[in-house]
Amino acid sequence: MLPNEIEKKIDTFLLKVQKPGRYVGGEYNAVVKDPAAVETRVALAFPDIYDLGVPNLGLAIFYDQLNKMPDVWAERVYLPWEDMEAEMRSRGIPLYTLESKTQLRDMDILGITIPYESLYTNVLNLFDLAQMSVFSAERDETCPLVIAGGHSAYNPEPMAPYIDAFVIGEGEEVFPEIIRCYQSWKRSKASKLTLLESLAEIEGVYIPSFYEPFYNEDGTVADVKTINPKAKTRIKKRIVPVLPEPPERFIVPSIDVVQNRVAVEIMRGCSRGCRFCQAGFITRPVRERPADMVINSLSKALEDTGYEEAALLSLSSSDYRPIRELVTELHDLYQKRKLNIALPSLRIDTVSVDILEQLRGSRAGGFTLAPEAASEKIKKTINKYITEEQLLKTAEVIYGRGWTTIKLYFMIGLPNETMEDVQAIADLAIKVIKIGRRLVGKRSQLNLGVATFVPKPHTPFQWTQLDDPEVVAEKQALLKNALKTPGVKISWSEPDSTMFEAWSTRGDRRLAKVIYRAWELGAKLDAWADHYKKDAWMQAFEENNLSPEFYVHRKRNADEVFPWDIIDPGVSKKTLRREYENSLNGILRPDCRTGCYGCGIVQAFHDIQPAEESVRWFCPIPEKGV
Amino acid sequence: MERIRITFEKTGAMRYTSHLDMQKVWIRALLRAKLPLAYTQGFHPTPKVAYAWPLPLGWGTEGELMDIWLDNPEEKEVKADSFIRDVNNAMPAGLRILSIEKLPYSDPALTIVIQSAVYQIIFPDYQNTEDLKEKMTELMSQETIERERRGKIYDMKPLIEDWLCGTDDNGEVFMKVQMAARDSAMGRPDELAAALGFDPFAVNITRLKYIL
Repeated sequence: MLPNEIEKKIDTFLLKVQKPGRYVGGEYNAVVKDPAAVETRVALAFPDIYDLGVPNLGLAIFYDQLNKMPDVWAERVYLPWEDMEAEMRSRGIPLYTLESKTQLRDMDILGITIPYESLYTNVLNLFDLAQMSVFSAERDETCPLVIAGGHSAYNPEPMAPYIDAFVIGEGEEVFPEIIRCYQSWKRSKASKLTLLESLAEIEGVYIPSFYEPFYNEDGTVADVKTINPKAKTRIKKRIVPVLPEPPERFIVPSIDVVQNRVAVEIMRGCSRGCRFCQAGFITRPVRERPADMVINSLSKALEDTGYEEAALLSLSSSDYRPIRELVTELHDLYQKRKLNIALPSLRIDTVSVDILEQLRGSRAGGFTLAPEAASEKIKKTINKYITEEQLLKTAEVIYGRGWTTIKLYFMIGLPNETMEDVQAIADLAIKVIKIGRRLVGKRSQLNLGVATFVPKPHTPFQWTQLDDPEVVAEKQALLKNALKTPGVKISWSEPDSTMFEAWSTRGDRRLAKVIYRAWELGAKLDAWADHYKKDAWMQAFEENNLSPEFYVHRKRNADEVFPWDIIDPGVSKKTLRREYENSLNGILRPDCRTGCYGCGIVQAFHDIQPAEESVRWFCPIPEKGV
Repeated sequence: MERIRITFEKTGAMRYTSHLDMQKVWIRALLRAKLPLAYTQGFHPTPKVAYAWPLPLGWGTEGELMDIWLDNPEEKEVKADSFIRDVNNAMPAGLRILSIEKLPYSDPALTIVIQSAVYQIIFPDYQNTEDLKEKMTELMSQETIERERRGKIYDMKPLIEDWLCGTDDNGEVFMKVQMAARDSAMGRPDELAAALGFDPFAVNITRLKYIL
């Protein structure tokens, strides 16, 4: 279907769907180019609705970067909400790009970001709405090349049959390389296999169809064989040695979306080594953006967008060395303009309170902290050690300076956790709310977010299992009964979504069939709690003779081959195993900036590690020849 | 402080932005154009801006009005050309200022001075102008035109002040209708289309101008 036909057709029914502004494009800073003047057309897809997709920083980075290339036009595509999907399907309208209303089939490259696993069925739905086969093997040279990236790609296996090429790690350098590779392939008019073979030579690109897994009788992976001469035995993630300038242009939607703000990454990577945290292990090494670069790009983006809110993003903001200067300068620059600045992931100490007090714009809101654990033992297990004294002192300062609400994040279901460890969370919460009552009286509020721990690939806990649902229920009940205190509110993770996350994140290639069948049975928008179709998933497992139990509640042997071992995140499996053993023995590992433990990052990336002082990592620089 | 009345059009993709979302769109565009906006007093100061009557989702407009207030230093005069150029460069597709005029600071509000609005209704997939004329004449010959809005019965007839039908350059049948646009008497062209037997979601409505 041609762009003008699509545009005309949707105009006849858009008023019948909710928030039609999601489907028309035309936003400020949307890039429109002359199709005849570009060589390569790219569609950047976020496989959920517009409202969630527009604020995604990853896609904003690529949209800005690719559109700066004169011969490339990058457009956006999101999934329609159900009402729009039904209207499109009933009229045979294919999924189209927002900028030019071009059907996805006519694009050269379709780049999908998959930051979390609950988007898997949406990706299949996206192919189907685009009137393309969901299977990579059934899409020929006339279909766009489908690449996917994002954190979920660190275990690409559950989506292996559907994606042509995965990008593992940071895409800023890889994406342009893929485009150049695609362009010379297209000029050569060679087969799709030729394209995939040349892509396989790019560092950080994984072509799943070049590999075949073999399984042991117990269902674990025995081996993964390469079935194409171009296939590497392992795919090392890509990183940028120095963080580039942040994006200059942000799309300003003409309708309300979940986050209306300019987001700037101040730091990538984390040196804390919390053993549950996948991001902490896969985004190493730590790289900071200079404060003046952050301020300049933030000021430019604020002027260019007119946004009232900004966010400074990192995994551990307090570890960003120039944090105080940055905050003071932003405060001086924007105190008149009533700018709200969000600064998540602060350490639990009184300095953080000073920082947030300076940033507290016109909205006070709550103060969020993530101790994750309360008992001595569990703090050591997860390697996130905040003394009770430090936490209570911080709470005292927060309530003392006029905040009425504190939100604390905890996890339950961690390895070796007992009922006493859970009781410690309740005891700590009571101590905190008592401080609140004493300092701000009955207005004081304590919100507890109690998540159930899900073991993730490429973390020390990849060998452990998800806690039994009955035990989790007992632990939740314990907290519920122990915390009937006025002023305390608790929220939980849903047991079903915990299970779902656990099998999708640790799935192997056989799980792909389960995802396909579940989607056929109507599973989609799984991230939306009221849309999650448990029955469809259970039926899909059963029909494929697989069981969620195998993926979820099974403790792994020390020497088990994991489906995601094909991916090399830089941190070695030996390091992860050692950290797992440390966790069982209650051994703490302080911040690795105070002393390198040799996690593997330096060995993996010594060839690109910068030596200049201004951009150097916190890792030691090995001597030449190491 | 200076008060400026803006006449603008909202077409294409922009028709799908609601009146509520439009307020954010405008403030951001005015901030991007670096206009010295005047702010309201109080705990949560916001730029001082006043809109005319809300435009329902999906309708276009070719002569919408709004007032903004600027905190201009005396010596800096607002020049229409550069003002329009600067703001239009900062706008999303489909939103465009057509003209501006300066107004005494404390003139009455738009919603008080506006009397009527002229709308164009286009009927897609419908070719018969004569039939439309007949239908409309027949409707207007009734003593009252009883319609329902939000559960209440009202008479539409006194809200219809003038009308004509025709065929435009694209061969599409249209009707232009002038309807009352006052707080107590607000004509709705979609309700008129429904009264004539058309699907009010399928007709294409544009507010052409206000009559003050």
